[in-house]
Formats: sequence, structure tokens, C-alpha cells
Amino acid sequence: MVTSVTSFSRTGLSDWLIQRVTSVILLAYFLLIAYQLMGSVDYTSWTRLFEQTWMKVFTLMAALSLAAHSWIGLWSVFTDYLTERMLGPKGNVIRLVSQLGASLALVGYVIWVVVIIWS
Amino acid sequence: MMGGCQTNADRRSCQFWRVNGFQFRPTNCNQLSAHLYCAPLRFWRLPDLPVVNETNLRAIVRPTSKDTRPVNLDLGTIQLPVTAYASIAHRVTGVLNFFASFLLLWALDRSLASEASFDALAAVLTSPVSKLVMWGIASALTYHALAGVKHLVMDTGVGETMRGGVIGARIVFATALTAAVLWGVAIW
Amino acid sequence: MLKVSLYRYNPESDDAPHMEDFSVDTGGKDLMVLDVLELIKADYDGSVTYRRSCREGVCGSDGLNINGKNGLACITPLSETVKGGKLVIRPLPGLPVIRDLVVDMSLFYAQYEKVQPYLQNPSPAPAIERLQSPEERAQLDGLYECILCACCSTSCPSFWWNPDRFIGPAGLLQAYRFLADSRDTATEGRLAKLDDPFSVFRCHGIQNCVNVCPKGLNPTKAIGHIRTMLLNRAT
Ligand code: SF4
Repeated sequence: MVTSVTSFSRTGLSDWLIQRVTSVILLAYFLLIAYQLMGSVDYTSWTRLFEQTWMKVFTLMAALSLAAHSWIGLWSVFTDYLTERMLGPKGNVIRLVSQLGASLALVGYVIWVVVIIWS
Repeated sequence: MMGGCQTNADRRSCQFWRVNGFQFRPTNCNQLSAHLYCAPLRFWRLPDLPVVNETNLRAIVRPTSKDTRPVNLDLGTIQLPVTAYASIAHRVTGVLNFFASFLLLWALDRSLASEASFDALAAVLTSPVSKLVMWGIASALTYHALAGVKHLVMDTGVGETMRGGVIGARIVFATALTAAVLWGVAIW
Repeated sequence: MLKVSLYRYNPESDDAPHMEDFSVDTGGKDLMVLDVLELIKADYDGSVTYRRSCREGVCGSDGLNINGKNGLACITPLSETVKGGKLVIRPLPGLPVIRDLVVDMSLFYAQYEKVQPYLQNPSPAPAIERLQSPEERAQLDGLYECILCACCSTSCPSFWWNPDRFIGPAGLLQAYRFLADSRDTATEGRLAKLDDPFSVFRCHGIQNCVNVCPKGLNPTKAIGHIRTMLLNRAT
């Protein structure tokens, strides 16, 4: 058992499963958005779409999925390349700083989405 | 953690004593070279071998930061199959999408804030630079999604052979390329 | 004349490795890569160092990076690997080089040891052997044939970056070999040890391992089976 405190859910299986589930949600969301953008969009139809409750919930779900999905992915990237093995003694500091930056950005994304759709 | 047939009581229950033929190591031995440990002629207490676990793995193996030996990891000399390129591209587009999300959220924000900001956004998006950015984001997203679908398919056990993986990777690259062209047509 | 370029490193005199070129007279024959190394050692430079033993793809000693692809020198014919008249031989990627083409396999073996590659079953063994049906035995095909040559693990990027935390294709193939064994009763304990973000889940399906295995085994598939077992165990 390799322990890791910074991974999303601490176990490999749940990280893996969350990565899959969120990917499906994100895929569905982006397909919907792409479908909407195919037709001509104007301000009224666009805002009407985002006023519906299901769309708000779906958008929020997509935002949460984006945060979880990105975290799991970026975490793998960071723990692959930004390590002591790759960068020498500075590796741990660089990785933790990057992880902090990425997690703040992702929390920011979610808050931003909440602000956008509920204001 | 440490086991092995180190006491006479252990030896009495040891399967090796009763079956004097080759078999997998007896279950009450934890050492890898357990056959030796259970050999009937050994009566003295044997030294403990280190059992590899997470805490001592790094100590057993020389840590690389102090290890001055060279490592052959000159990526330019290593030949990779198309599946590896598909995976690298999946990772690169994933990181790009993380940054692109910022722009997408900004666009969403502008498009919903007010009619004026919606029109301002629409105006910004007609400039050549923003068209290029839009095309890049759309293509990266599409590639990442397609490679992700390949992952999901492979998770079900389909296409895990080399042939299957190569075909899958080629399909992903081909469709992503077509999609990129289509995005270009749609945007310009 | 075949142009051969060898990775050379002598820890006693060199600060850094370098490539050394030889041109070898193969007599127009389609030799195995190992034969070329033997020729160089015999006729050109006796200090060229590499591992070898059985010379027939059974012992797994001469895993090398041959023209960019990992493989066993003894069963790789020149006709299969040489394109453009040049043979480049480098040590297996990602492991510390001891000398020339010889790498330190400690990490590889440590990962192998971690999966407890031996049968565990507390019930007293029958007098002759623990029996399996032909179907149960067939579950081990494609798993037990591994010769631990390390070609797969050292071609795997996840193993390059985290050789101390990711078990790697060879170790995981063996982990599954014992998970799939009907005689082994330690399945639960084995699975519990694997459910972390590194040991198994660093596999991203890159398939470099399948691409290089000289025995034609498929670690990616075995890893998929382990994942399914972990999933079934948790749900
Ligand atoms: S799975 Fe194949 S490449 Fe990997 S160690 Fe075993 S024989 Fe070698």
C-alpha cells in the first residue's frame, strides 16, 4: 500500500472511478453546449436556457466534475514530473506549490460557476 | 510480520517437513527464499530478511538523489508505439483544458451577465486571434474527449491487445483530426 | 559491415556515459543481436559489458534497448530491428546503469517482491499436490510464462517516473497470476494492498509493455483484470 495524502480520495479505485464518472458528466455537458452552439444563439435564448433549474443543476454538476476530474488528472501529472526523483531536493516544494495553485484555481472555478448561474 | 520456520513448533507445522518434494513455499513462511528456511536440516535460528514494504523500499534501494550512476532515459532514443503518442496527447490536452477552462468560464460569465456583455463577447470572438484560440480549445477538448472514450472502452476489456490498442489509437487520432478540420470550417 | 553503436559507461573512469561506434562484419548472415555483441566482445573490445546466459530467450538476462525498442538481444534477429544499416544498443531505460549495458534491477525486483509472488494457502497441503481443473489451470496461461526480463517495466513511462511506487507491468502481471490462481486463498489481502493511487492505478493504458514483451504477454490486460477485481471487491 502506497500512502498518499494529496490524492483526491486517497484510494486508487475511487480516484479511478470518480475520473470515469466525471468524464461522462463532462462529456454529456459539452455535447449539450456544442449542440446549442450549432444552432444560432442569441442572448434571449441563451439566458433562457441557463435560467431553467435543470440546466443550473447540470452546470453545477459539470463544474464540480471539472474540479474533481482536473484535480485527479493534474495530481497524476504533478506526482509524475514534479518529484524529488525528477527535480532533485526542490521537487517536493515545487510539487506542493503547484498542487496548492491548482487546487485554489479549481475551487475558484467552482465558486465562479456558482456566481455566474445564481446571480 | 516475520515468520518462517524458526522455532521447532513452526517446523512441526511446516508443510515442507511432511511433503518432501517441490511445491510452492509453505504458508507459514514469509520470506521469499522460504524453501531454504524450512529445509529439514536447518535447526538454528535464521537471521531476519528484510520484508519489502513501503517504508523500507526506498531505504533498500539506493535513493536516486544520492545515486550518481547514469540512467538511460534519453527520450529521443526511445521508439514508442502509436498508443503511447495517444496517451501523451491525452495528457497534454488535459493540461491545456485545465487552462482553457478559465477562458471558457470567462466566456460563460460574459455571455450571461447582460445583453451588452453578450454582444461585446460576440464581437471579441470574431477577431482572428480569438478564432484561433477557440479552434485550439475546441480541438483539444475534442481530442481529450475521444481519447477518454477510448479509455472507457478499454476499461470494459475491449481492445487491450496490441492490435486493438493500435487500432483504437489510430481511430482516435483520425477522428480528432477530422473534428479539428470541421471545427476550423465551422469557426471560419 | 554493420554499424553498431553501443552505450558505454565505466564507473571507474567515466563521469558520463557515451556512445561508441563499431563496424562489425556479420558475414552477411542474419545474426541475433546478442551474436553481434559477442562478436564485438571477442574481436573488437573485450571490456564491453552486458548480461547474458541462456542465449535462447528463456533466462531473461539480456533485456536491452535495441534501436529504441526493449527486447531480448538473443532472440531479436538483425533483420527485424535494423532499418537503415544501423544498430543502436542502449541499456534498459529508467534504471541506474552499473556498467555499459548492465543496469541495477533492485527496484524492479523490489516491486516484484512486493506483490508476494508465491502461493498462499493456509490449509494443509495434500500429500502430492493441490489439484486444479484444466479450466482453472488455463486461467494462468499468459501469466506464468513471464521470465522477469524487465523489458516491459522499463519501457513504461509510469515506471520511469515512479519506479518506487508504481509496481510496474511485470510485477502487476505476477500479482494477477496469483490473484487468478484457484489454489491461492490470499486474494482479499492481496487486493487490499493494491488499492492505492500508485501501485496499480498509475497504469494509463499506454501499452508500451505489450508492445515490447518478448514472450508476447499482455500486462495491460492483467492490470485490467486486477482493476475489475478491485471494483468487484469494493461494490
Ligand atoms: S511480462 Fe514480458 S516483458 Fe515483462 S518481464 Fe515478463 S517476460 Fe519480460
